[in-house]
Amino acid sequence: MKPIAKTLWLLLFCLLLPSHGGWAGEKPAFVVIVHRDNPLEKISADQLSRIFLKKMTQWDDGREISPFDLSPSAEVRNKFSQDILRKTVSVVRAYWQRQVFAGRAVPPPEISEQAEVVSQVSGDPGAIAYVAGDFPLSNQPVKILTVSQD
Amino acid sequence: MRHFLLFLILMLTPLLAQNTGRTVFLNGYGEWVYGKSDGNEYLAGNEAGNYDRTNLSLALLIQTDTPLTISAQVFWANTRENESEVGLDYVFALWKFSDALKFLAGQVKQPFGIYTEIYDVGTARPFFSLPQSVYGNGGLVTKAYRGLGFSGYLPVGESMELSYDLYGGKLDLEAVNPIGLLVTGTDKGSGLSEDNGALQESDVKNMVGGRLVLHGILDRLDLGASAFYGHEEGDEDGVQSDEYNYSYGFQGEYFGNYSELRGEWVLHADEDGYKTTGWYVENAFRFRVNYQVVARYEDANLDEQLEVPAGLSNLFKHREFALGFNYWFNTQFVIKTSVHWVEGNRYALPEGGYPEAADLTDWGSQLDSKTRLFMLGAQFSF
Repeated sequence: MKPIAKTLWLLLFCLLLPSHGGWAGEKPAFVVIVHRDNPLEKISADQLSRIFLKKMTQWDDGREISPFDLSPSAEVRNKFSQDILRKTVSVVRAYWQRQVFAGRAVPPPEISEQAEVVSQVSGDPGAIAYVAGDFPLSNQPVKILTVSQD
Repeated sequence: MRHFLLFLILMLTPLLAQNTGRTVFLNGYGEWVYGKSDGNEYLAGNEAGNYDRTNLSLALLIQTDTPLTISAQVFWANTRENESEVGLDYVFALWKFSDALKFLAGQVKQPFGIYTEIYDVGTARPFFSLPQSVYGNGGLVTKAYRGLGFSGYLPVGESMELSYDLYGGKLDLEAVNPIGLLVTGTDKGSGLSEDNGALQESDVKNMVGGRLVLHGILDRLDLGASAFYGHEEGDEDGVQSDEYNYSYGFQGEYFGNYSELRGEWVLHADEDGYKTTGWYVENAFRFRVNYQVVARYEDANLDEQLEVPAGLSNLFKHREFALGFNYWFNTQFVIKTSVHWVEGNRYALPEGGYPEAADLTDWGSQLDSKTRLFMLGAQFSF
């Protein structure tokens, strides 16, 4: 095979590599959203983990971060928990028991409807949440963040 | 009536706080446990079989629209002796300057080791009770301090965090005290109480303490160390005394999706040279989502500085192996059962407590140093 053809095959292979568990062209399992006025464009998985475990509670500009979770039975919550927090939902809830009864922090509000999550994020400049990758977000005053694994 | 009013006030607080610009969270936890032993009284069990241990705690957290958060927790407990207790576990204010610096003031849960801040929360541990070698009435740690403290988190590298606590004030330590018993004797059948010298309550004043924990080593491992140092004031035969004492300990915890492994080692010592050490390791493995098998080994020793009459050395020792099986309906409701094999009488004693001092040696020779215990019950939180 000629070098140029090899390069093209390699490029095509890379384009098809999974992103958030899906193949290129497929919708990811979830997308992370913030208020449209949030200056952030990209966030790392570790930052997201710290935010949703409330170990990081302020944006760079000092504003309070308001994370919103989906209900524990939601498939998207399960996927987000495994991929970003690297824990099952049960382990995350056990973590919150410790925080709550130590009197140190309370978990993010759990919302059952994704539309309600989007509504909360669109109304709160400090909010951050996740919804299913195929949830319609066009015409919504929210911004999708790129999640990096580094 | 007093208990009822206290709980009523707490339960109504969220309603009263509506429309005041504050967010109020009411959480709680409780348990009922049956315990039967083959002789000695230990944890929830006695020889006849005991159904009486129940408790309920309510925790209130109020977030204001400023960096101020107020936390409080009250408990109501029905003991193994079927007596009611009610009390205040903690009440404190937390002011958040940043994630790296929070200021706390009040009666605050003592940050020492893994479990002190969640001492009685059954759904936050694999067994009904915490390992007595570290968390029992051995005077190594306690539930809360009264004073001021700082707390915070700092990211370390890509995925680890360092949490730290620094605090000062006063601690109330409570310990079953065989030394006091040997020196002063006690009344027959009077049980563990401060009056008869078997239970020693110490006010550790001018105390400073701290805890450092590195979280997320290899993703799921936490390692840490804790310590406190303070002074105990006393009155011995009309002479004022002021003796220092201290505790320090190390902790390690792996919290995986299906398995948990943790262990702690703690030492407490005082100016007279008495030393108590306690340690444990516990393992829990979850399968088919709801089922969990658990195991624990623990050991505690009180250094003997006195000449101990024959047969009484078991009062200074505690060694225990426990196996359990749990069914978790969800993370907030669990049915637990466990079997415990105990050696030593530091915490496992005959019903009725200590005999008269003159009878100690006879009593010691008759003391059953081995205890088997079965427990079954439910724990829940919300």
